[in-house]
Amino acid sequence: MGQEDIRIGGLAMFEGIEGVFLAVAVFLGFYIIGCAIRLGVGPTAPDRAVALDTINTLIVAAMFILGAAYREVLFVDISIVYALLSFITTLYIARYLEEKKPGMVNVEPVECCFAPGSVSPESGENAANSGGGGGKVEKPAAGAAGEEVVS
Amino acid sequence: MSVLGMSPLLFIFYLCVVIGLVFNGLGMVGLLRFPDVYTRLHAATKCTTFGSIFLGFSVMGYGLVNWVRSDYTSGVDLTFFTHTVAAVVAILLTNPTGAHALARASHRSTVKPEVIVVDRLEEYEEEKKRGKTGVPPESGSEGDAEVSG
Repeated sequence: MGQEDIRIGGLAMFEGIEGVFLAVAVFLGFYIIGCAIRLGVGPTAPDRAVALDTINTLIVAAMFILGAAYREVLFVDISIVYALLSFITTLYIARYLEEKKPGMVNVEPVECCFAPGSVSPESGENAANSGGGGGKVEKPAAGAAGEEVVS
Repeated sequence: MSVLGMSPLLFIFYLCVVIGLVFNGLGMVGLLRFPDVYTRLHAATKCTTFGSIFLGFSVMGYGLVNWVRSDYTSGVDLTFFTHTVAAVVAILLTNPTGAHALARASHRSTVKPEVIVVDRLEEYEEEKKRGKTGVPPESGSEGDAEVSG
């Protein structure tokens, strides 16, 4: 890349800009560590899911920044695939958090959404309410959610 | 002509990098400091989407400038441009959708907002539950319009 193309005046100043990209990638790494704190301490499971989603976005950004820093187009391609796969992962986690669905492993729908020790009395009451009416409402709710997400 | 001692294109490049870094950092701070799931989701998703788009703009500018500098012969740099456009479009499509799904899922999993003025989704769900169990809903079928708001 060290050609002496001075004809187009301003563009020559882009020489050696890869170091800037490397510094940006280091910053993004620090941001990812900050989000990992929320991933660790987040009191509820949706908190952790949100932190994971944010980390995925930052990783995609860091991947194409690093692709520019090391001049590897492959990194950018991988970041595209990573973005789409992380989207699918997020949707799957969201469905898992919502309720138990046919075809998924039977889990306790409410208890799993709280970290141990943080279940308060009123949330237990909520759990009883939704558990009481849950049998009938479950399926149409799931269908509505699916349509919402797709459209 | 020059802006702050650099060419205008380089200035725009640095501006994109700084905007991207600042907004990604704000997203992280919001994720750490806000009180409940919905506000955290709000801060983190919006800020990281915007910031990542601007970081993508900087990589696109890098590819385009190097492509022009190489007399339009460097295929690698043009590939940087086009593939980063694809990556940015992927982020732009998937990130808000995933955030929407997460917010809806956390609402359904009985994690409610801490400070709340009005909860239209809750009203809609209760209305639907009542309609399901036989009691006719009172306020008609305007719930469909409300759920998107």
